[in-house]
Amino acid sequence: MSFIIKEKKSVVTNSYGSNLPYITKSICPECKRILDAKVYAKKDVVYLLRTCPNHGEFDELYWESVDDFNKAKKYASNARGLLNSNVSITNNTGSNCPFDCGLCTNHHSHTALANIAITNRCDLSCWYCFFYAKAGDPIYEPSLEQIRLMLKNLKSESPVPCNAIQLTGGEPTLRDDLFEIIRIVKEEGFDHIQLNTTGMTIAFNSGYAMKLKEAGVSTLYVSFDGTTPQTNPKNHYEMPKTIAECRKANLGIVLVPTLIKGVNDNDIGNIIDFALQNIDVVRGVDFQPVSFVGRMPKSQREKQRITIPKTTQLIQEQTNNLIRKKDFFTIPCISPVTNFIEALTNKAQYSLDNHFACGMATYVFLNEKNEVLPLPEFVDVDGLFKFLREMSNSIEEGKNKRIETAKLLLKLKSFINQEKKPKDLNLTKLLFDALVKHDYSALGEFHTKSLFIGMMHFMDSYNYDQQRVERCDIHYATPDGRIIPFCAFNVVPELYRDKVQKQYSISWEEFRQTYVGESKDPLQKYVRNIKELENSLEYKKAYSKKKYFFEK
Amino acid sequence: MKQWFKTKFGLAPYGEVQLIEFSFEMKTQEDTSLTQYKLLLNDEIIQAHLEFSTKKGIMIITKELNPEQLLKKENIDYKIISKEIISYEKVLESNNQFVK
Repeated sequence: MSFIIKEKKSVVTNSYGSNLPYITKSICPECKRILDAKVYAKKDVVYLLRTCPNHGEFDELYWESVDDFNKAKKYASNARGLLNSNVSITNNTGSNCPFDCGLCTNHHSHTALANIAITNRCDLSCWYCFFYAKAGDPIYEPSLEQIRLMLKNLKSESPVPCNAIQLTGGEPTLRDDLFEIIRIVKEEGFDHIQLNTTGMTIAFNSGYAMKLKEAGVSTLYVSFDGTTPQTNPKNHYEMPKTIAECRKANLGIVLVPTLIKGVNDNDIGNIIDFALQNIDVVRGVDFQPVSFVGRMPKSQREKQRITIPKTTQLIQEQTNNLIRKKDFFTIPCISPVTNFIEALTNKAQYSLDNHFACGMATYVFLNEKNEVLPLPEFVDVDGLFKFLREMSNSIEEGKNKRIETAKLLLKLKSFINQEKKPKDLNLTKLLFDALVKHDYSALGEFHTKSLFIGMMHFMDSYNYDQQRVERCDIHYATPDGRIIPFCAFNVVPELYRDKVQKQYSISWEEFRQTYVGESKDPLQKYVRNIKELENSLEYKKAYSKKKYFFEK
Repeated sequence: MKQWFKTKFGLAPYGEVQLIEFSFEMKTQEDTSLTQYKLLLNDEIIQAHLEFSTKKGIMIITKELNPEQLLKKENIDYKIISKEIISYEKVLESNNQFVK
């Protein structure tokens, strides 16, 4: 039984997974006219080309390697779509994508992770950030009632309800009622709660991390752009304190470096080294190659643009080939697992069927000798997924589920190199439990023993590809009831992010009078005391040495 | 102070809004999409969709706005089919999946 809801017929959809060159749709970065665009190879590099009748040609770097693009493309999968699209009273069919969101009938993916922005206040004023309210700006803070309705909306997605929420901002910890919000998210039945934070509140409020953990937060998603004050001006000095507090609370952290060529791309290996040194609390590093905001000349874009293949190449170079380019797989590679479980259970499953060019990831372990060991070093990932695909097809063709399951049990071990794998990791049992018994409890243990290294390249108006937005599975919920793909929300913020926040915000004065009282400044900023922070024990230990990737 | 209106979807920034249905002439899908984009840049237009295949459009706009002026401003060759005052709650209801 297939859970693909509808076969889509548009040119954009039909070209998904085609060989280069192929046609998609994009927009003019100047006037936002929708344009036919060609994704094509020039030497070994993939570009996105389109021509606006009024603003001329835009030929933008898409992926730095054709080989990597083709490797990722192998895993292009059919997404499940939605039974209950966000069509609205205006009957938005999606024909004017990306100006028709909520999730329309052309959208292919259910919400894998939903962002709910709970404030636009922030206690930092990073020059490159456009998400926070400056003095006098209106304040956007949806009410508890509105947040609950957004959650209900996400939970009602069919056939696969959303199960993971990221509370974001601004800085979400500035809301006094944050713990009440977390309680509501739990009440509405979400298993995974991620808090997107700078980590400042956690660093300087002993016990705050513990309170978050107890309230039900699964993971902190913390910006961390490098290991020096130059590469990470945002929280270089404070991160060691944040980590120490999370360690006490056993609250996992994902480090989120935004990568900019020429700014911090020489610090990638150090970031991973830093993460491995804190593997007891750091669950992952999620690199985000930069997406450009507003207008930017081509020369500047070429200077700073970095995409996924270059990131994996730099990881290989800066980890002394311990973590290699070939260790990375595109996110939808996981679809054979989803399909297999669906075939066994006849029930639509949570899937990660976003576009193959959106992100890549791998897992890295430290073995008993404290050596760095990427998962593909001891698992035949391609072989395993190919086998699972064959098994799903057999079951769908009517073969006996029990016999096929027995075959799986016999064969599973052959994909795992027992000599090389970490000794305390029983991967065969873990996989069998997850695939056949649907017991995912052991997966938590998997995450605590490994480091996730991923990357997600969010788009901007220069490299915008409608094919990617149609498959986006990271969404925003808004208080007007819509669910909007991440890259539509942020590539055309004037129609989504800024418009909705303007509609649902109140003036600074009103906010101060209503919620805070005259005595407290709602836009109070964090003031850094570098000397004091540098002298702290946590800081001295944190960046003192590299442990895993020595420079040759 | 901004005025808020109580709805079953929480406090909303609008009480009543106009639902405008119109037909239009447009040569291409691309022109239609760009026109929709430009319309939506107006704060007073809350939601809108222009369907090239049927040459029909629907806009949700604030109660005070004159739709004809707005469509003229964007140089749209249009004909208003219907104008209706509806509660904004109805728009919220149509956006929210869980009530369907």
